[in-house]
Amino acid sequence: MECKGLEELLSAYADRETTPAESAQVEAHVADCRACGLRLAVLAKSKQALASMAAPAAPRDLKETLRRAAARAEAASPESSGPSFGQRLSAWRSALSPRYGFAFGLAAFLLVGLWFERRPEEAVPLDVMLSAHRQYTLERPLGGSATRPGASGPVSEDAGNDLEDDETDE
Amino acid sequence: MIWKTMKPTSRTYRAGLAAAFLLSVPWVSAWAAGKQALPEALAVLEDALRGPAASYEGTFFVRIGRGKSRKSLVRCSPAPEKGLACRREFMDSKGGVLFVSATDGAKEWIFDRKTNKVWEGPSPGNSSAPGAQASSFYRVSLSTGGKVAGRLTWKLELSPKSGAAPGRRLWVDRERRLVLKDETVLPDGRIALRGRFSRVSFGVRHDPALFRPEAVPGASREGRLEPSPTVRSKVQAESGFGPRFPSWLPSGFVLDGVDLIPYKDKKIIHCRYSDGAVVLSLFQSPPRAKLDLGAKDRKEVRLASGPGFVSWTEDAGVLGWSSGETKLVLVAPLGLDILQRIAESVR
Repeated sequence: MECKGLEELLSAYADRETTPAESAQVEAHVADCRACGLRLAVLAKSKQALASMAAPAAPRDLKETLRRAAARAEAASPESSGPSFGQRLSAWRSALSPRYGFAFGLAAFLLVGLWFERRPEEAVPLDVMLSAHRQYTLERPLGGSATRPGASGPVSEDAGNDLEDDETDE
Repeated sequence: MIWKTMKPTSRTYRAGLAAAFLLSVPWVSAWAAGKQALPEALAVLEDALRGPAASYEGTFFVRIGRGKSRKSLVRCSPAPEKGLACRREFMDSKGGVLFVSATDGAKEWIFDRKTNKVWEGPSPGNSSAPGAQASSFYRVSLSTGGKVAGRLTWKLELSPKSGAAPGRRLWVDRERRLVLKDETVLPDGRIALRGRFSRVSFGVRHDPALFRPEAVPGASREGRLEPSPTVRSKVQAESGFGPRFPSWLPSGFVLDGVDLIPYKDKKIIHCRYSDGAVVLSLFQSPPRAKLDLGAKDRKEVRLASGPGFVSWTEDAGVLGWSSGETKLVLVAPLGLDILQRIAESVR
């Protein structure tokens, strides 16, 4: 199976939402494909990391803060446009605990890692290598007996070294 | 008519019968030898790869693809506890030595007269995988093979199980179990490499000094499989990634050099190996490169390190595989068993 067709299945597999047939398909592919194996490992790790994080406890003074905020809202005139920018910022600050910061950082790190793993590979033609091998065959002092590319007959680099065998078997 | 007029009891008649009987003996024995019961194919392969128990000497010709043959003089003796001691000398048309490889079974010594280089290293042992291992690559069948170098042979056909890989044909001396002729055959039927004895004699006594390293004044000394640490670090600096080298190559093969092939903004490492007649290339692509095989036929194979593929050019087999982020490609006119053994030794 091609790696492209497997992307959705990988995520579902990491969530254990695949059918037994789909699971077998993923496992067979991942056994041979290192890139998809890594993707699956990253997905599994991120899910594991998120699951292992305990739910943040509510601040102790949450009740009191909410009551005060409600009283302030009541006291404010109906024309008022709501809390000021400073008030909203402080409310955000109190809501964002260091745990949330860690989760955001981890997610960003995993995203960068996934991009790095999946960035496109540059193709190197096999023909470049085969031409170099052929050139070497022609240049090697004793190995120069192959036919030159495009030539009609055998060419020897060092004709003095070539000795014909009679090639007759009984 | 004369025969009919003779009496069956006459002396001439009996003498004629005896002469006819004596004359027919060589023909009948030759026919009987030809009709000898076929031995087990894998047993013959095992024996052939181990080499004969007697010392021998012969003239051996190697031909790559449609090229001309290279002549060499081969002398071998069984070496106690070390396998086989052998010396092979490639010669020019005047009988002058061009390239020598010698092993005492433990160490191998190689000399190239043209470049005045000497290589030394541990002996690689048998060139082919043991028979049991070869049978995992090939379907092995045996038939009568006619005569090679005047000796009766069994012909072993090693057909690759993967279908597209290079296969082999071996003609094995029936009595001594020496491989007298060896062909590497590409899937399209072309012969990539052919080696054969034109003459061979057994029981020849060899001077043990033939199989030991010789002092060659002024020759530079090189490692058999890897370049010097200086060359290695230079290649690493220029390519941007660490070169890898095989830890096993068939007997006689030495590192000829390491090149860097520029491709776009990257460099491909090309390690060149040769045994004086056959050349072998190991390519290493830079990290995060994908091999573009073009329209080439290929078949998947399984190596110890993971999946790979085999393909072929007009005169060589191609084996490709991945190791970490690097793609490696081996090109040589050798059978799949040898290519795979080399690939699995790359560190």
